[in-house]
Amino acid sequence: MSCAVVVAALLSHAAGFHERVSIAVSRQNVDGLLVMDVDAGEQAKLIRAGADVNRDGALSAPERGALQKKLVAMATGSLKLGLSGFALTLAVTDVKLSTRNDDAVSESGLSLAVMLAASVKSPIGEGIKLEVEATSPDSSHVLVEVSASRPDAGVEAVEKRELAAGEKWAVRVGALGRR
Amino acid sequence: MRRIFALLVIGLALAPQLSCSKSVPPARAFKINSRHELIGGQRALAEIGDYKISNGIIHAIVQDVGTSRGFGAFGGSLIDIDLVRDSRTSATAGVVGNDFFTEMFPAFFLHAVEPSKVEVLADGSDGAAAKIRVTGGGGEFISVVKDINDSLNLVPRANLEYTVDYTLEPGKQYLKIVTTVTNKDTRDATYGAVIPFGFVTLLGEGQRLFLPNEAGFNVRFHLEEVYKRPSELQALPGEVVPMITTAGEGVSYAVSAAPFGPLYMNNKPEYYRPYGAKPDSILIPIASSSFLGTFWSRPPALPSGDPGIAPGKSHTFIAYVSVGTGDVASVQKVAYAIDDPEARKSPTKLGIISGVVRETVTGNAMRGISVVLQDEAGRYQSQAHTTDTGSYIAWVPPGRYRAYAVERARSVAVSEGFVEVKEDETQLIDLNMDPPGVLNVTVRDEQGRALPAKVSVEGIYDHTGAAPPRDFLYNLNVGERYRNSDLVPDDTAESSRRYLETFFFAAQGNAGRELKPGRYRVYASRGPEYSLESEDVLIEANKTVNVQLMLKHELPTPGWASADFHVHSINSVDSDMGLPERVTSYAVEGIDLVASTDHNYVSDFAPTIDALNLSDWLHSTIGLELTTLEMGHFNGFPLKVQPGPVTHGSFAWFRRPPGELFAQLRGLGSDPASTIIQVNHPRDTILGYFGQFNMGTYTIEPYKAGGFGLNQEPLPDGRVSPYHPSQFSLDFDVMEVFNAKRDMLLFSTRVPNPVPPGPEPTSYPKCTGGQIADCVPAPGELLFTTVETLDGGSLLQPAFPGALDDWYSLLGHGKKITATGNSDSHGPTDEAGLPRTYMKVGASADGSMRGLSEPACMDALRKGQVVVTNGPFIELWVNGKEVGDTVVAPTGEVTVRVRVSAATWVDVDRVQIVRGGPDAYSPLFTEIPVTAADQTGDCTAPCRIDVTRTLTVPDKSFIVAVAAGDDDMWPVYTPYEINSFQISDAVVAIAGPLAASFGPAKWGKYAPKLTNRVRPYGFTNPVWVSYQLSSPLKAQKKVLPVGASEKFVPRSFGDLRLLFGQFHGHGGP
Repeated sequence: MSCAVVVAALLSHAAGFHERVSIAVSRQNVDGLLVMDVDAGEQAKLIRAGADVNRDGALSAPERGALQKKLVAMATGSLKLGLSGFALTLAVTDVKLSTRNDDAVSESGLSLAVMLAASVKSPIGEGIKLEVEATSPDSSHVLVEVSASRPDAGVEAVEKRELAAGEKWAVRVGALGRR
Repeated sequence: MRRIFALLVIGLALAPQLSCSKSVPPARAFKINSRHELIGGQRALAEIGDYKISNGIIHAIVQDVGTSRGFGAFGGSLIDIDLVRDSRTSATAGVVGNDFFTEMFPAFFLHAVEPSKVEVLADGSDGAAAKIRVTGGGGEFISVVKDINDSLNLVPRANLEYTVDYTLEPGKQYLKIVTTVTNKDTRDATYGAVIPFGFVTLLGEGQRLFLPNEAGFNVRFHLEEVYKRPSELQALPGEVVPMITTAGEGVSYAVSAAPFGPLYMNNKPEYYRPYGAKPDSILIPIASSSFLGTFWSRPPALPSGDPGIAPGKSHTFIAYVSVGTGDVASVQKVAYAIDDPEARKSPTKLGIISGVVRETVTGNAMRGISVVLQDEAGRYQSQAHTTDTGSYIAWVPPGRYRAYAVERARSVAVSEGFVEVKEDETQLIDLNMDPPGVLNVTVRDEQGRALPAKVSVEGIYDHTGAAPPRDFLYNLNVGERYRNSDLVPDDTAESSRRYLETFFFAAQGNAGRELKPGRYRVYASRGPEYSLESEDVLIEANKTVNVQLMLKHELPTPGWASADFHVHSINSVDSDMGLPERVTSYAVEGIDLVASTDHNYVSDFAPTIDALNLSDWLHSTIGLELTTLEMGHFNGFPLKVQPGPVTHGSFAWFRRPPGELFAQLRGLGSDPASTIIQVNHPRDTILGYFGQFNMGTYTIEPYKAGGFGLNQEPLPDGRVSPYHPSQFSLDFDVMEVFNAKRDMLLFSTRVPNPVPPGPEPTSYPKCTGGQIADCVPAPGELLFTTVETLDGGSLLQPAFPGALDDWYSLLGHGKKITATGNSDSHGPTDEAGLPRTYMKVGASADGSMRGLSEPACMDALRKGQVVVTNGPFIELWVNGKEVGDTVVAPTGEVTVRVRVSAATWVDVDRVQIVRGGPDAYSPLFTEIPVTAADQTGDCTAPCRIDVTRTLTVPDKSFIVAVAAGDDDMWPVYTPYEINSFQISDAVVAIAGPLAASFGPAKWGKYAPKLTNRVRPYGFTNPVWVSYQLSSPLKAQKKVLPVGASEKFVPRSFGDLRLLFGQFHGHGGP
């Protein structure tokens, strides 16, 4: 029984959603890039079918727009960022969708890249904690990477972590430079 | 009024300073934020986010942390450096510069710096030098040397921090590199031996290496001689030079050293002083395939006298990279003038040699001639190019000199006697060169149409004896080019003394070339499908000879297209073949489809083919050779070009397992689910995937590594090593079984028949009493060794396995992996399409190549409807089914028909029917000799034999047909004459006494032959035989989408935008 659970757990992640978020913190900005892949298979087909409004088996341009909107919502819905307890409002500034050269309602996978931005009114000072919470649509782990711009335009060591569903992660930032 | 007068006086006083002071542009260092700030050039690798340093005279870029974009492992290296040119930007080519420098990083013998931080230390705004600093810990850039480092304690266990400061002063034409290693530990950092510190420098083809002193331009062969000198670990063999220099088009480089701190060659000076070692000399123990080891420093001594660094102490060594205008002399002038008292570097006292090179008959000044200067002691000291007025100038240490003028179509001119040059004096040495003759060749087909063809010009030399032609026919030291010869032992017969004076390409059926006067035989050829025609000519000075030749298409292959899936161009660091010459070399060899597979760079040949009007003859597909340092090389095609990134889509491979690399290569494909992944030269030293993972030939699984192997320990972040046996993956589609013209990679090594003369190896006695491994068997038998399996068992393994046996074994295990044959051509002497891969594609293969169906080609590859050959064309039918098919034969009885065809100049002496399967991982052969009598009935020219046999075979067998000939294919295909000097060869040579205890050296005269003539050889892919019909399960191959799993480490918002830009969106609204 335990082997089956382990195998099932492995299989539940083997085909599904793969999400990673890269966050760059600078003195006045928090920027992010979220990339989500949906593996080829039944899941991808269901998502495509959901956008096929006229049920003709093909995704027209407006339908792809709706698909993109849906995927963005799925990807960003559970992404939460904060600065020492204050929640940040993230705006989507740019999106790219890839249907893997296949516009049919098929099992072909999907990929999404989303640029995110949050501006802060006051400069982010040294010692402030960046709080991150992220859950992928199938509750698989999300790989999160955080980097910070240094005042001398140098390189800050990157923190990265695989967040489990519901897990909160706090990263203390040092002195920051401009974006 | 008084104030005005005072101001006027002050102004007048200052005026001389204001009007006469020479303003020197300041130096600046900054992080690159825009593509306009890049340097540009053929070898430029920099991207936004890297760090630039400039002073208006030269500029250089240091890569940010991460994985190297060059040939190395780590970022933080110097990757671009050039003279500052006008800042033009091309819409298609980006910044227009002339960087021809690949990469340079500090090395502590076999250990490097793994950077964790790059920063601007001084931005130059204060008017002083600008400085970029790289900081990090140590790391192995080649993991196979970890065993050497560990066993000899060459890497201290103490915590060491490394910093590399790149400094550029205003007004200077050189970059100063200060490398410091600091012991941050509380214990001594001890080294097990006095090892050399210095740099690994990757220059790349297009920059000709010139080593002042004994070698000049002849680095490859002179280093072989140097390796024979006495040596030991603390006195490594190598070239001793005052600096390394290069000559190139519009830019040249020099790397020199400061005599600062303890010096390696001073440790055992008796090994080096005879060769002119001075305090600032550099030792070059490795010069292999663009990879150069340049060493001079060494660890200091602890109070105990042992080599090491005490707690809290540091050791520093200093290098200078100078930039010239294209010849050695221009960059030596900069390097010799370096005055750095802090580093104890003083300018070298110099004299000047100048002169004019003219043509003897006309007296015309000659432009672009290479002039090499040699002193009376025989040392090659400098090289210069003549200008438009025929004049040259070089700065040399005082001494007595003579000059050589070198040009490809003329005999070398040597000045008479030696001229004395004193310090600060100028001496003139003029030279006169004899004029060439001219050869024009026109090639037509049987219908009189212009035909792209290769023209080979063969000469006969008079010399007989054992010395190779490079010893008497031309002078490599002064930069004459290598001439291929027939590799036949010289005797009185002219057919044993042939060489190629030159060869060139008639892209549209017409071409001409200047030649040294002499008697020649001129050949026209177009690969193995066409005839070989020739005419004898006498070339005289200032006269033109016109030759017309007609080639017959002797071997048509309707429905089959020929391809080469492993090809390099100038976009690879180790090739300087420009795209026009590259694609032309394929059109003239009759190849239908060429894949662009540059090292870690995605190229597209199609625009060049179109521009040269070759589209009717040649089709191309976009590919990539993902080149790891020591895990293997893997091709992917057809791919999409990503115009944004500097490498157009190639990606980081370092510390990633092979399965992940295959999946990401697929993701780059134009149709990711259909990308073909090809494993290249799987048994080629550290470049061979199977060899590096110790794949057992008969088990197709890794066995335990013995001796030097990949580092299988967990990565620093705890992940499994990408080289762990569990990471070995067979998830590829195609295997390059036949690579170039190297027999040793194709065939497992056997005892030659007859046995060569010479002593028997002491390590291996003759096999007796049933022993078959670790001993010398009978002539013709395979050399075997025993290896240990991962579970502690024993396994029989060919001592030097060939890819053909690996492939037969894979087939026997039921792995349907298609075999290909490719040239891996890096330059014109690696003939295009030798060997080649024929694919059964149907009607689109006939007629113009504009109509060639690329999907049909890829489909044929996947299905195994493929024949591999360098000459004979083989057709195989089993019960009427062709290659790639499966025959259902419930009793195992099958009828096998083999038909071999070849052009008249291609020899075919035997056919083999090869049968393998689960019962025979080492397959069984039926050999059938081919004679003239076989051309009978339906088998008329070009058919050589059409034979049928009936066999009874076990279930799940495969059948392959092979054809071979004994006469070599000169002059169309020249021998493999210069064995490549691999990094592994250098490591073995350096290992000195240790080398005798491992590797090929143990087998003595039975070790694989490294050179060979090219003889006809070809084989089909299999026909499968099954007792019952079954549909194989089709496993979906893993694909990693572009941009999704790259281990990208962003540093700033600019980097996030860059990554977003690389994301390949399709199908969005």
